[in-house]
Amino acid sequence: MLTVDQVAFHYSAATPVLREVSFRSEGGEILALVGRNGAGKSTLLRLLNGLRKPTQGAVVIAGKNTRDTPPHIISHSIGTVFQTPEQQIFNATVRDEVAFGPNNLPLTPQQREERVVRALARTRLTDFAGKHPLDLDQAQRRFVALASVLASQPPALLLDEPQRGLDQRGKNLLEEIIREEQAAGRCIIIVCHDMEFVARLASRIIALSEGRLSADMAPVDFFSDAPAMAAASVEPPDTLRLSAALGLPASLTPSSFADHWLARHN
Amino acid sequence: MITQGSSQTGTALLYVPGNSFIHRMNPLTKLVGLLWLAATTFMLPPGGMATIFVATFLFGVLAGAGKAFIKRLILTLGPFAIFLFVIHGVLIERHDTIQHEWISFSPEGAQYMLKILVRVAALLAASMLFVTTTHPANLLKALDSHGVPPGIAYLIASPLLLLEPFSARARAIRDAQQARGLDLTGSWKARVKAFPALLIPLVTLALSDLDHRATVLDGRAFRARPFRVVLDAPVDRPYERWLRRALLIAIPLQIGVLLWL
Repeated sequence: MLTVDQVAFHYSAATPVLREVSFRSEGGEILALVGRNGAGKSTLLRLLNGLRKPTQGAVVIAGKNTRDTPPHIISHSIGTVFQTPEQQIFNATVRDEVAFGPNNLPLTPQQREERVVRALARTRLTDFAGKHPLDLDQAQRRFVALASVLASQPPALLLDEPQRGLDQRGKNLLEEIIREEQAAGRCIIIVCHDMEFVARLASRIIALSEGRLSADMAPVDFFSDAPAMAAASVEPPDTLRLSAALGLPASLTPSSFADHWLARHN
Repeated sequence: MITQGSSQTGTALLYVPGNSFIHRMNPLTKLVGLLWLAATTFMLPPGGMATIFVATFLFGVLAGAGKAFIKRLILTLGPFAIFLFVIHGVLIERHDTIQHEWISFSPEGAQYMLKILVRVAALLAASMLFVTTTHPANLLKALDSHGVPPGIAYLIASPLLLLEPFSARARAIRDAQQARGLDLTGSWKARVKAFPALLIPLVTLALSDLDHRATVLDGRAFRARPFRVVLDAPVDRPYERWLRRALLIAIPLQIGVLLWL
């Protein structure tokens, strides 16, 4: 579904941002893109959705090479939720905002309506459909942006710090939606600094360091690999540190920690 | 650590770093000079205005800002010249209008158009010389060090200070809308249709930013004291102070002469 092949990118030849980055992903995966500030995550995100073209190599998403395809066509294959939802909101109602994506697709009015209604329901925005999006709180606006992408039903999703500004209830809903999308066979890429969130959700971690791919591994392996974490400037989640301190097998979530603890004491 | 290149985050400031004579001048001298040139262009015949334009352009080139000058002048004056020509040379009927098949043309109208164009070009070139050789932070320091109240100093410098975040936001909005299917590469009709999706978030965010900035400034006691102390104020040479005084006297006199005659 997604192939990043030997991708390099620079804004000027003297300052390369990405060098020889390669990875592949099939549907049904949640990839977490991690790394310190300036490692090239945001640039990679813009290469994946076709807003920037690689200076070397290729990004192919759902059979479309981003080099030859304009961003608005790539958006049919990969939906992006940016960090600041206000940057995309311009319609007078939540419903119209969510319908923006489907309106750009070759769908019948009935299909559009079905998608919008479903996206609103999934993001718990049905009751706010007639409100102005900027009258909602920050968390709800984030869900408006997410609903707008979900309604387009692209095979891949790019989420840039999606959990930022959400309370625990919002995070739970977000996790639920992401897991549903994964179960539906979509490829989901999350750019994230919250390692607890990454540990709970990700099936693979792609780490960038100084513009290069420094790790591409399962979360348990990544969070057990001190040099890989140091290169990406991340700390392991608390449950993993606790399980390591108690000599238990690596646990990424409280529930797996509890399982290991109970297994030892039963 | 690899950082993003300057061309992406870019600096939307028009300032071009340098150490030329114009760069080293006190920002207030340049500001007053700009005002004087603006007043002067309204008094001069087209030849005088053209001289101001050429002189400021040459100063800009000598200050190392030639590229920025050419780009902005073409982008601004090109469409403006076409617009003026169509209005004054073709659309407005004058006594010397010549009808040639389906098109009419007035030499007097074209002459008038040229006069306006040269005046705007002179004003634009003088403004460009000011903004390309004056960093907004230095302008603020110069205003503060001369006892201008902080609120007024900020008001004068803020258009230059806000240019960079405003441009960065415009780029981010364009990216966000393209990433959700907005076609910015199609026909002019598609582009016109896309315009509200770019403009509305930009205006909305700019308005909410104003409120936010005001709160932040108040939170930092921006107007707690009537004047601010500047530790590294731009150098202000005695001859510049005299020059400013002379120009400040000349400006109202010129305006007065202009209104009188």
